[in-house]
Amino acid sequence: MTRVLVKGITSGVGATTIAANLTYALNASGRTTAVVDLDPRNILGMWFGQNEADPNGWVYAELTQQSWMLGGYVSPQGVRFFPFGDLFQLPSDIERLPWSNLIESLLQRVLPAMLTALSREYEFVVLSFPAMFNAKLLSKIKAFADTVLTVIHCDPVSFSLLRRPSNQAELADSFVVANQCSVFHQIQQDLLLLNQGAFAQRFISTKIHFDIAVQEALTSMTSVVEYSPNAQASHDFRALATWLVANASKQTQSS
Amino acid sequence: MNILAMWVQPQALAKAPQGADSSLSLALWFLLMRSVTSTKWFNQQDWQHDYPQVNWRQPSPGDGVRMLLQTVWNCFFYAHFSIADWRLYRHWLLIKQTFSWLLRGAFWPLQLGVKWVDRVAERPVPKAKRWQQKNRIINTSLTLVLALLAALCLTVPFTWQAQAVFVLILMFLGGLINRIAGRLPNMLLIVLSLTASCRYIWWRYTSTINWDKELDLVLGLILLAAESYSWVIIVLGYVQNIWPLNRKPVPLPEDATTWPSIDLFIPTYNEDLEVVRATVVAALGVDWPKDKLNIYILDDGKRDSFEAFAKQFNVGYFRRPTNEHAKAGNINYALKHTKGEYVAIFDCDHIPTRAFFQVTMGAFLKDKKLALVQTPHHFFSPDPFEKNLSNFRDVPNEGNLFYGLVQDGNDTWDAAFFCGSCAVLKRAPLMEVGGIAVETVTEDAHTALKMHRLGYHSAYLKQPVSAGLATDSLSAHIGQRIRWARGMAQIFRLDNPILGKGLKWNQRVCYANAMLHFLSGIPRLIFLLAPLGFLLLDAYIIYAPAIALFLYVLPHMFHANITNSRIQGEYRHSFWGEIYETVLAWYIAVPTTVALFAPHKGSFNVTAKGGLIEGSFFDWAISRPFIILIFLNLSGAVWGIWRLFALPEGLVGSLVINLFWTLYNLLILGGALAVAAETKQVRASHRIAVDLPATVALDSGHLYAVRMLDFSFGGLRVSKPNGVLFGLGDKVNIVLQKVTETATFACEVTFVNEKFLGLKLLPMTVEKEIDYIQSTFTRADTWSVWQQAYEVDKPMASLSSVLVIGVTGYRSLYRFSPAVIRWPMLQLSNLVQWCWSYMPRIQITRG
Repeated sequence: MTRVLVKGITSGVGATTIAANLTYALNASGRTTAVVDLDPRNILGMWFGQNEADPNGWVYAELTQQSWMLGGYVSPQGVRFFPFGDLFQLPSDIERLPWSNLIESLLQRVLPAMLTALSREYEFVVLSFPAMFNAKLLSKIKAFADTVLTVIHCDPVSFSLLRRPSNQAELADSFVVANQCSVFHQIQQDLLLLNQGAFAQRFISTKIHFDIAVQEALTSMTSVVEYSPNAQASHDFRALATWLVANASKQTQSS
Repeated sequence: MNILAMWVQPQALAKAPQGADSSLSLALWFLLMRSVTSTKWFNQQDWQHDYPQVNWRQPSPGDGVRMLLQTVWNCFFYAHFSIADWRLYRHWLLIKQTFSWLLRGAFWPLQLGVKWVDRVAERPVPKAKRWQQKNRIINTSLTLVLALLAALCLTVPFTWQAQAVFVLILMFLGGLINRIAGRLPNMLLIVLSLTASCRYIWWRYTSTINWDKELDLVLGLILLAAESYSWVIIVLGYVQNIWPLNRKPVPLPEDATTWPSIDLFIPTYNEDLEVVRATVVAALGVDWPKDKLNIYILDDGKRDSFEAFAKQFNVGYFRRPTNEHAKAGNINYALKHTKGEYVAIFDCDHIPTRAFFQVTMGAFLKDKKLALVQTPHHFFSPDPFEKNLSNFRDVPNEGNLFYGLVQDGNDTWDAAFFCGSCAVLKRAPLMEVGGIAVETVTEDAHTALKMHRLGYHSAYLKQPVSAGLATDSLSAHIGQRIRWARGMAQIFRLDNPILGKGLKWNQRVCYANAMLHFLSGIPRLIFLLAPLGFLLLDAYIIYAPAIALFLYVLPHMFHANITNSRIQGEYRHSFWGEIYETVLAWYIAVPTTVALFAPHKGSFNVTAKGGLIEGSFFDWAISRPFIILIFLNLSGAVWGIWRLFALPEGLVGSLVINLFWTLYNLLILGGALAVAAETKQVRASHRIAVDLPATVALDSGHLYAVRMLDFSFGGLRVSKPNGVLFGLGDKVNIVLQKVTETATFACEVTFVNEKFLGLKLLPMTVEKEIDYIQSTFTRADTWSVWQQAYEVDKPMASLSSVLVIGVTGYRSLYRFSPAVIRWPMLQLSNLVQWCWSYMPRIQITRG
């Protein structure tokens, strides 16, 4: 019954990738998992085999048929996923609200009920949160989540954003996981070493390496955990899932 | 076959007709009955199973007889037999289990009591003077009473019956006490062993010398001298090892500015640059402030390549103008030209881990009078015994007893001494004794002795914080031990620890034991030749009836064995010490005797390390003395057996005992021979087995999680990821962990099979080399399984494996013999095999 929110420090760091592969890894370790895409770019579905031409998703279904449940699918591996939906393909008779208003109303109306219903059925619910949303929205959604993972790259931009004073408030209760770490470049090692000290408790020791197998898996519309179990990235995602499970049980024990 | 056995009356066999034809037809009749009464159709497999000694593909003339013998056997004996099914055996197991369960229950309160006593004993002694004085009075009075009782107990003569009862009670008590865990039972067992051994030696001195005949007297006294030597070693050994200290590292203060400066010396003479390279690189990676650590290569070989190497790696280099006093002179020269507060000395092939100084330096800051911290010499390559007997990592090696137990015991008495490498010395005490001692060839122990005389302390930390190369060949190994033995004898003669001032009584005992241990050459030779005195020369060396021998010798041996097995069990398996001592006995006998009488004669020979043994060969030069001893023992045995059958009774008991002793000697000598058969060394760099996570990164962008299974200086072996194809010569990258970070190295694939991938490291920069050494050799956890991988000693199993090694030794002697000796032995073994093929077999139960 743990809700995990995965967001990136900025866009393009691979938050959706982590959310999708983490879901697969949790599923493979025997925990029932569902994943919900909160990103209007609607790219989560690709990871689970949704047809590219299919515009359906939980927001799409909610807007067209007033039921978010019709926007959910089950992947061939048995993972429950809820794509956002391609809002550019909404029928013309549906009213197009401005983004922020739409999201705000959905958050108040739909998301609590959805999460409650999913939590009843699934041990883990992963939420993939886009970087484009503002801090106010983030803080509202964070209220629903038990664990927050902030994804970064091992590059100067990510670390600069990580250290920015204005970001400290929202990073206060979040864990940081490094994605796409290269084994060949010393600068990334040095940056990690430098910053791990500042964020000692929050930095997850498992980092996700840059492995081309992840992109190859996506072109086969599945996760690297299924596609190439030997890959270092699969190993890393499995380790991340294990950490998450241990952390969740620690949280339930302390609360 | 059971059906037949029940079906056919045995009486039918008794009435069997005469003649070969009839017996053959009887065999055929039985076979017919067998095939008729079996429940399924017979095929060739069944025949092969029932008559395993017959080769059905190549029948030979004697097969009919073989089948007949087997069939007859099957009629009388239960065919499908395994000892686990035997009712008697099962009952015996049950009785043993119940008995041990009862004992454990009965001993449980005793065990608790012993644990309590051990805990109290570990508490530090209060320093209050009055407590000490009171205790001293109690201690002295108790000691006097004890001494009187002991004198009485050990010298009173017993009748055979009384001695037998006494001995049985002692052995029974010993067995019982052995069941209780803890340190107190160790001490009790030592007391029992001392009782048995002292009674034995008293008996030997008073009742077993034949004063009438001259030859008996001379030989008897020689043997008695050797036995006295053994007894002294046993007693001193008990004192030395009664309470191993198990010192723990002291943490350093937080503020790194208070940490002292250290000079790290790496003396070298004729070793290859390859060997020294890894040590220097590891030293560069040791955790200590860079401004407080100065690394120096002390090159006595005056090689320019080393100087260039030192310059490239930015370490110090000393080249002294002369070469006197070998390593000691080398270090003293460097001491004059350096200024660090502490001096760390590493042999050129001993690699320190990162944590070396973190673990060792704390003790110096806590105890101002501490002059030396010594750490164990742990080897990552097998020494000649382990290599040639193939017991690497199964049986503890020869050095394990010293570094695992003896030095620890020495540490309790503040007598741990310097071993030449992997140690840190304080400069001030070292300069006070005039640098490293140059008067003897074992300069390390002598320096420590001098520092102890001035009242300084020493410490031994049993942490595996470094690892090195063991000696490569048996000749190099023996050469090293000869040097140690000569040096120790020289110290015994020139700077005797028992005499001279400055040492406490317990330090004297420990040093004396260390030196006397190296004088074991001549006593061991005497033991190897002793039974021949009776068998060949008919001299009563031990002038006592066989029953007396049983009653005095057996308990002495039994108690020495179980006590030593208990104290040393984790560090040396029983009876292996015999092989180690036998191998060295001949070679150290002469140098030590010469050194005792003329200490300044003899030359220093450097130990050769790191060579490649090209092909397997038998070291005839080294094994010549063993062959001579074997020949003598064999002739004694043959003569003894002849006497046993040819001459009248009356001597049987002594003959049998001496024959068994000779047989034991022969097997131990065979074990020494087995070590001389050098196995071919397959690769130049030694590999260390580990199981650590690693990543293989291909240039295509794919990464695979693998396990690193072993590594060496030049390459490593990893598990192969499933379903990925590798070809020989492929360029891959291996990513290893280095505490908090990872390091990537370019490699080439040199070996592929379904399970493993062999990688060779491609040339890399200095920084990358340091990274590699830090990811592999100097990781603190690489050596942490030292000594935990060994099983605890089981004396009987150990004895049987040592005796098996003895047989192996003779086999390798035979294998390497010239053809003129091999041919008759081959015919003999063929004959024996042919006779054996007629023996009926017990059939293995099919599943």
